[in-house]
Amino acid sequence: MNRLPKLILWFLVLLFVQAFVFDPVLLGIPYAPFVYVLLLIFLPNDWAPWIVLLSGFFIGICVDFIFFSGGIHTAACVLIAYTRPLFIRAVFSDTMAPQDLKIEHESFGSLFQYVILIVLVHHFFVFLFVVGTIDRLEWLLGAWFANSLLTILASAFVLILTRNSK
Amino acid sequence: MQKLLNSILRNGTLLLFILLFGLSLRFIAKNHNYQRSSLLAFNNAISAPFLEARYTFFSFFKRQVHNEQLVAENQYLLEQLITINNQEFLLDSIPFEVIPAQVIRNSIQLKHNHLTLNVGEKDGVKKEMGVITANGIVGVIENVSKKTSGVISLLNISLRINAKLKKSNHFGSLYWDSESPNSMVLSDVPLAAKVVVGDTIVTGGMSAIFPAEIPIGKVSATEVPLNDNYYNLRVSLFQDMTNLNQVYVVYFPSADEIKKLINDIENE
Repeated sequence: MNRLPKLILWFLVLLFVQAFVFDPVLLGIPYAPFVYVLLLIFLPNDWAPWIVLLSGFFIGICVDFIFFSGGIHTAACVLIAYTRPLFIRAVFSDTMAPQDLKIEHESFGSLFQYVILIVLVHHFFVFLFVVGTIDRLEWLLGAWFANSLLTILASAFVLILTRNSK
Repeated sequence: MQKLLNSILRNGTLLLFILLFGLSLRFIAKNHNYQRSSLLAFNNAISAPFLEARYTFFSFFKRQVHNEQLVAENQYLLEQLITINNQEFLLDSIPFEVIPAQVIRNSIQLKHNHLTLNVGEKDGVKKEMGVITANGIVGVIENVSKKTSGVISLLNISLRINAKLKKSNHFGSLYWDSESPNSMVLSDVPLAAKVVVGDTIVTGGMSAIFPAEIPIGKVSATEVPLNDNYYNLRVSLFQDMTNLNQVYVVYFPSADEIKKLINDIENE
């Protein structure tokens, strides 16, 4: 059962990177990748759904504390934590039960698809909660696209690094 | 009752989701209402040490930007200060301007010391402009190339600067006697000035190089040569000439008019 310490380490590392590197204010650019989304992907699939939900809630709260964003990331994380089995079914074989998925055994291609899907949905809700309404649809779509692209690139980089190190 | 309990247990995840999602939406709503947001204050209080650590971490990388901001601020303040102190010298009320520059070479061990600045013709630097810092004067521009300029340091025995006592406006001539890089000599101050140790010396403003009232140093010793009616004052400089980095070249807007006037008088 060395999975939990590993997960905690991931949690600390990704939040640290999020806070100290990928902060738009610090980078001086309007968008920065939300690499912490990878945590939602790394949460074990055989955990009870309520643990996954609470973990998502906790991760979101921590990120909201970093960005002073008061609930935006929490809401998006809880949403992803709840709907995660749907994405697993959509990307991986739908004959497999979501709890049997072990991401470390999956090919890079399908894992990457899974990441893209989760990032797109997560970011859409983040920016929807930022705007609050759909009046500023243009801005919402622009921000969603730009930020998703950055996150996907950064996540791909992290995934490649971790795969190679194995 | 049994049925209700069973359905709650069966849909426990959904209920938990609704609860947590509702809670986060409530956070968002609260956050939008700024006046009532105790959440932000709490966030601030909790994150303070973390933010401080982050600031320390990033200020290391951003020190260049911070320095540039400080230089720009200093430039603005110096311009204001010089302009206010020199209202009477201003023709057509054109304000003084200062050009920020970095000292890229400095010497203090010679008798004729010079400095090099990283600004030149393209930045608007011309010959015989004054070079100052917030603490005092540094020298006079001697030669200008496209991107750099040479400065006669205060620590150069051939440089003489018009200076005065701040409290009584008695003028004298300031020069370096090569004794120490921290002190100079103010000569030709009349005995009527009644100088005491600690008096402040500032620029006289009787030239087209330095504006008036720029601080230079403090009187550290007084001496009256035998059979003379003038003081020789030892002045310890405010500006540490051995540690120069950021300096400002003063653009004196009426310098050309003043020089022309002086030439005309001399030719008559």
